[in-house]
Amino acid sequence: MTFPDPIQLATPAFIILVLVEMLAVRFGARGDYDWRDSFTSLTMGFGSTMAAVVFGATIVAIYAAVASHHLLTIPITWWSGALCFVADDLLYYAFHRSAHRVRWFWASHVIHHSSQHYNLTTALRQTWTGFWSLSFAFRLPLLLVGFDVRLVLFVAGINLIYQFWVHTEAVQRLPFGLEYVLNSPSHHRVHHGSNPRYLDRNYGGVFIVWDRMFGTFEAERDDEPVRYGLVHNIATFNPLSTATHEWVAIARDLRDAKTWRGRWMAVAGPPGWTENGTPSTADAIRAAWEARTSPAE
Amino acid sequence: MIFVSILGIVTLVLFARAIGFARNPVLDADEARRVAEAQLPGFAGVEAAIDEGGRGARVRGRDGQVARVFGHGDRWVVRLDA
Repeated sequence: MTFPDPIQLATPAFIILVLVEMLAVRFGARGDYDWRDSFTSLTMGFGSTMAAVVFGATIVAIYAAVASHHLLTIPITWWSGALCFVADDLLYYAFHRSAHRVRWFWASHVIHHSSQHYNLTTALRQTWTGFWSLSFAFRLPLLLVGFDVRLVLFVAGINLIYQFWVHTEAVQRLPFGLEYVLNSPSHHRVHHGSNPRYLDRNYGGVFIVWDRMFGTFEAERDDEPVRYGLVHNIATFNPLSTATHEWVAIARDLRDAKTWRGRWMAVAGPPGWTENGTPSTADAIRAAWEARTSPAE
Repeated sequence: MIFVSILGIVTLVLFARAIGFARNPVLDADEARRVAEAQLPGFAGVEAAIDEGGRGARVRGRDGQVARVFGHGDRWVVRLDA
């Protein structure tokens, strides 16, 4: 059984939908674009696909090697596909939460958050260095359990496609209670916020129920507009600088670290951790904000 | 495939620019303070000096720290002076 490459099939739709959103915003829909920002986002997306070409064969080989040690033999059927999709999304939650809490993983994922805009091109602003951040490793449990490599790669592609459309300000809230179950534009706007209230929240890919279950959910508030971007925003549109800035910062912090703990935390600690001075981790920023404001606010 | 992708990127970027997503806003003192306070939680600006024709500013905080605000496309980047 062969599976199509869902990303390749979806790419023309991505381009058309970006054009549609640009025109909709131009004619009054909620949202914003900047041509320089879009250049960076689209170029990062292009580079990400090139990185996938370079590292794809290695990842598939690793997946095949791990799959040879599978515990069960799960056939490719509609129910195993659905099960694999849900399990993959749970593992995506674990990956995504780690990507915000461990600097080695964040060094790749930060690229996706480095725009101060939030539109469909932001969805395509993807890392070039995910292989080195071991993002592929989070799916290994699916292979050990016994899901077919082709099925795992297919549902991973579907997951990624789903996440494209939530990167928009043009959609307010989903109807029919879907906001309770699914990741939505509203939930994901919160995820891209650098407001202390919104930092490190809503990691879910397709299903937001993981955040509700594990205590990382935050609803978007109409009285607190999301401020998109990073705690320390980057000041470049250069794709190469965008791709590498956190790796460079890690190298600088490793060089300057005075203790072995400092070196470890520079790599594996939370983003914003510092050996000296005031930390700017999400937890520290939120704690300082909570100390300044009343709980009712 | 590569050339098609590059052509697609160039087309989208030029289209965005052509339909007006190419602003270079300028700051006044109130806006500079607001931007600095928004990007630096806990920072309270008391006075701002505008430079670079409104594309940059220095904002002095209540605690004596100085925040530099500078244009980044149609957005702003803020850095605290060491």
